[in-house]
Amino acid sequence: MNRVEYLAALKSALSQMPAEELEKQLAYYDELIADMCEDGMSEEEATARLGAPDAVAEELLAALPLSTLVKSRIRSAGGSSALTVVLLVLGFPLWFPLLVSVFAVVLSLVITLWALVIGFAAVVFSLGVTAIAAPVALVAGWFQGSPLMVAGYALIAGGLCLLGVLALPPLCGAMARLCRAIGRGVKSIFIKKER
Amino acid sequence: MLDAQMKRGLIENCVLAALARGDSYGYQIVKDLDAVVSVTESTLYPILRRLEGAGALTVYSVEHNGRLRKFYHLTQTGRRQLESFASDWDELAAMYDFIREGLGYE
Repeated sequence: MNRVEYLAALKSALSQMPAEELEKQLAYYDELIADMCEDGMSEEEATARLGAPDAVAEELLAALPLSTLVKSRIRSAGGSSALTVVLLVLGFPLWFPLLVSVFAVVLSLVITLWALVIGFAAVVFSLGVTAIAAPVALVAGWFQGSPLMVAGYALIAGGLCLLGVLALPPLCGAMARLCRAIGRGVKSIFIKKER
Repeated sequence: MLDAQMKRGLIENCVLAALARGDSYGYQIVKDLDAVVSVTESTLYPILRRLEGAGALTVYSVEHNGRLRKFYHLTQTGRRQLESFASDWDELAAMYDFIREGLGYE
């Protein structure tokens, strides 16, 4: 792929980019290819080094702020004709609650996921309390029953508690990754995949 | 593999450090950074834009071989950001040494 073909492919892959931003990006890649050529590479080598236009476009779009993506998505959906504006205004009672509920759903999903983690931590904590309280209750004479049975309870609770404590950090990490993935997923809704 | 967030922060400061040596342009920055970390041209661009937006660098064009080449210049804000990172780094380096000593490395 030579310089002109590469820039054209990049431009079409970045059609969603605001025009001013697109211009800057293309100028940046144009300059890079020219600099690489001055460095002794052929145009084909230079464009191969930059990577496939689609992959490059994906990386650049993902780095855009969400608000820019949403704006350009709305713009490209119907241009900014008077009709679109009127529809947007008249449709406000419809699309605004929809938008709010979508975000509420995402937010509640995230909260639910973390509530699971907190619930798990609470169970681990209560197991720990059981493990300590059971022998104490036995020694203090609050509890009538076989000492061996109480010792067994305490050991089981203590063991489960230790396992839980070990599982907690990776669980938190996995949950944080999941939440980040959800964030990326929301963002990718606004990145057009048209070819 | 470095944590992605951590790596991005490090690369950002490497870009600032490359500019602290003098004004530079896209391809030159990639080549300078290549000695320490492999950064693709497509990774660099959003970083430059973000730093420009944060006022850490300014952009100007210079004519070169009949075309325009964009140069990036480190501002006072950018220099301060880099200095603050470097002073935070002392603390991180101390932790890093502590970790390595704990593992029995020299």
